Amino acid sequence: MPADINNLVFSKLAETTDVSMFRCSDSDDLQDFLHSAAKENQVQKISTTYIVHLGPELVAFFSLSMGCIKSDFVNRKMTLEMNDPPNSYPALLLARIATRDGYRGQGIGREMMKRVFNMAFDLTEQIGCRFVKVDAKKDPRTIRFYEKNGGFVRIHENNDSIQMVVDLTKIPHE
Amino acid sequence: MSGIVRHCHSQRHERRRTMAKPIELETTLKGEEARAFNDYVSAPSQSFNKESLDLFREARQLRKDWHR
Repeated sequence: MPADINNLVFSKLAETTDVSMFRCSDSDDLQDFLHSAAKENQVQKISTTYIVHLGPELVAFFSLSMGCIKSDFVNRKMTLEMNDPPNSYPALLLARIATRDGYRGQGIGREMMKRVFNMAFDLTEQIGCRFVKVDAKKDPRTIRFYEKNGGFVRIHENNDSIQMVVDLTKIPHE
Repeated sequence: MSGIVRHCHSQRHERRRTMAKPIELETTLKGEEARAFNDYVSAPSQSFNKESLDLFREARQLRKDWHR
């Protein structure tokens, strides 16, 4: 039966949250992160994890941190226009996002991305935050998800992941 | 649970603890990647698909207490 996304309940991961039943066969890393790292990261203020329940079931989660993008490119035009053009940009980092086995393809990921952008829009007004950045699995379906849900563009690639960003200054206000 | 089984569970738990890769906060771009990033940053606008525009609009409309 398809998930009723109107009944999704979002909350912050708590020490008492039982995450042991969360299964994500697509990625050991995502499952292991929630099982073994998310709570400690939250205590250490490395990342904050938001969990998504549908009834009693923990069906998804995402984790956010503050990130940074550094570039060694010297922009001559900007150098002429500004005394000290930036080569380092603050970013809201979507460090992990996952939906439990059996619940994918039902719009839960999109609902989580709405919350990510809601937070990014707040941050960019309050503390300065230029980008939303994701560390995406090297998988065409995953990359399509980010292109479709936020217009993310690829900026960096390594052996097992692709980093993608969207520039918050380019998002129209309405 | 016997001592051996408990020991195996404990080992598996310890192994799992180290499997999730650390969060990489920083991305450093060099060469062609840095140039392409600069082109993106410098571009005055970006064309977004309808799905993304709808997503941004709905994101702005969310209640501030979406996480309880």
